Amino acid sequence: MATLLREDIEARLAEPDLAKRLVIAPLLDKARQIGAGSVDLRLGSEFLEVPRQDNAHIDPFEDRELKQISGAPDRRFYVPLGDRFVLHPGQFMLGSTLEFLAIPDDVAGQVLSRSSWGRLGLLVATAVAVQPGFRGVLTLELVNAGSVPIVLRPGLRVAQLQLWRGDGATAHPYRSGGKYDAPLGPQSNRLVWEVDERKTLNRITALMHAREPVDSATAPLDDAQPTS
Amino acid sequence: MPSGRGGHLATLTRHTLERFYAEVGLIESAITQADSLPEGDPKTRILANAARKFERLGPQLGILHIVVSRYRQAIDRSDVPVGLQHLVGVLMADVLITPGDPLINLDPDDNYSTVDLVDLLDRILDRGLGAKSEYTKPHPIAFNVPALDPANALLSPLLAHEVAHSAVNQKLLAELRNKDSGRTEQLLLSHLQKSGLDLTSQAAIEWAERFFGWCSELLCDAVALALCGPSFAWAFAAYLPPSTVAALNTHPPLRDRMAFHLAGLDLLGWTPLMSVHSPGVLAWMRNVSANPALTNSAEEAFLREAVEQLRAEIFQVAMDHVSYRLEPGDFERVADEAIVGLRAGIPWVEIGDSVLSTWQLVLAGWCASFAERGDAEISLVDASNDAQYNALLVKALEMSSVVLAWRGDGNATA
Repeated sequence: MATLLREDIEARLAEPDLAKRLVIAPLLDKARQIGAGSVDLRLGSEFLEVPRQDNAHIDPFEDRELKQISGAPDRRFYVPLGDRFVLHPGQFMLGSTLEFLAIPDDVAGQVLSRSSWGRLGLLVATAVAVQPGFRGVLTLELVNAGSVPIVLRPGLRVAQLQLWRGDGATAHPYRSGGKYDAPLGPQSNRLVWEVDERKTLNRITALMHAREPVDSATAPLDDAQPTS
Repeated sequence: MPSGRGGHLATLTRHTLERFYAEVGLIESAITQADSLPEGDPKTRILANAARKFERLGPQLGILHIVVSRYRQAIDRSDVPVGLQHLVGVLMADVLITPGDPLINLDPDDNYSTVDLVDLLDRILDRGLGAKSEYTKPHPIAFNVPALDPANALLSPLLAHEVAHSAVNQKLLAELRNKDSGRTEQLLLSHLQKSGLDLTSQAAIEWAERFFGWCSELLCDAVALALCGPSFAWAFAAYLPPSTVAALNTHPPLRDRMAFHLAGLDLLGWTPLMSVHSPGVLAWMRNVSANPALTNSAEEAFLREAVEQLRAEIFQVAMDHVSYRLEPGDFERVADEAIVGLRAGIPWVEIGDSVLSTWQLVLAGWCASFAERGDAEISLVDASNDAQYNALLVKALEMSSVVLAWRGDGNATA
């Protein structure tokens, strides 16, 4: 794996073959956004607010739909460029990048918070992996970890994307097997989709906590098979 | 509140309440005047009249309340995608004569339509309120979009037709009548005489009214065609399939409108592009619109001939009105790359130094869809029903607004 430097990034952005091209659109200020070894990404206009709730806890592995667990549905809202909103201390919200990305099948990446925001208490991304073949906008986890409200505006450069080139293209790019098929806004938790793993872990839990020895072949919730 | 987010509904409400206060003031004056009179008939009559006027204010105030409560949730709403907000802003700028302030209304009872709330309140309240002062602020315009499908980019050209009604009512229909120079009246007389009627007959009034209704609709269609090009004709055919044979009514029959759309698109220079990107759909539209007869009545013959007689003028009035017209040459310069991007599921909007405009994007969306789904009439419906694809287009519309705003060529929301 080799880090894509500015020259590599610019060459990939100009690649004539669409399948091999790195797409970051729109790139509003190319000179400022492309750094020596990363690309700054901007805050988009779409947000998901997770409402406060009165559940004692969230256990994604409980045998229920996650939406039932969380109680109230997330609120999706839009803030146009030029407008603003306030992220209060302790508040958690999902946002997304302004830019739509198309990552070639031989490139992987990682999204990080820009340090200048981190020093104000704003966490934007917790080293989010960007898989080869990914297409869409990236979901950002916005948290105000400080003690003062922070005013945010779509268009702000809040994150940076680092990219690495592999030795060759993966045969299993993200778009063909990933959970998010070209997301155009922030995506909420999809743990509920991982039914097979949930069932497997529940089966193990049942075996561990059984008062009497349990035959694993007849244990409840043993219908799960590892995914191939 | 940022401009262009429906806040002028509050301004209009205050303005309308001033009319109520003025009316109440007049009633109070009348009562004071009556109090100074001796008991008797004049005093009783003045007081009774004042009481009647006062009682009428209740229902009138109720109407204002209905309008405000119906649209207040649309003020500064944050639950519609930025791309849709931008599209509505573009329509306000390109079509309206007086400045407007959009209220995007997602009421499930509504279909594609627009309502100028100043006109609406004037129409209703003038029956009961005497005092009237001119409202000079931006008109709150309700954009009613289907609640289940609010961000359908491919059908959005229908909103261009709807918002044009405001301009047609204010100005364009009068301009068309000026260009008519009495030709329609002569034609009307000629058709009436064939039926043994004359210009004083009830039929003459009804035929003329229907003719102007048809002209209004066709003027709105022409505005939408000038703004959106073939996208309007395709959206119209997808939303209102011309298979239904209807009786004559306030709107021209769908097949007549399709013929009108094809003629207009030809006049605007779009036929070669349609032949390239959708030859099958073009052939279907020509075939369907070639057989428009409904009732073979004398009225139908008059209406069809009268519209045909004024067709060039209808397009001229519409084209002179719009501040932005989608040009085939401009689209062709960016079409290939825009279509490649959309077919690949990428909402890029910058082609070289150009930024795709709202209606270039919608048109590229239709063309890319034909390339993906095939060029048959069913593709029109399939494309407009594809929620994911429409969401991609709405994202592209947002990106267009963002890039234009960043470059200083436009602003993000209007």
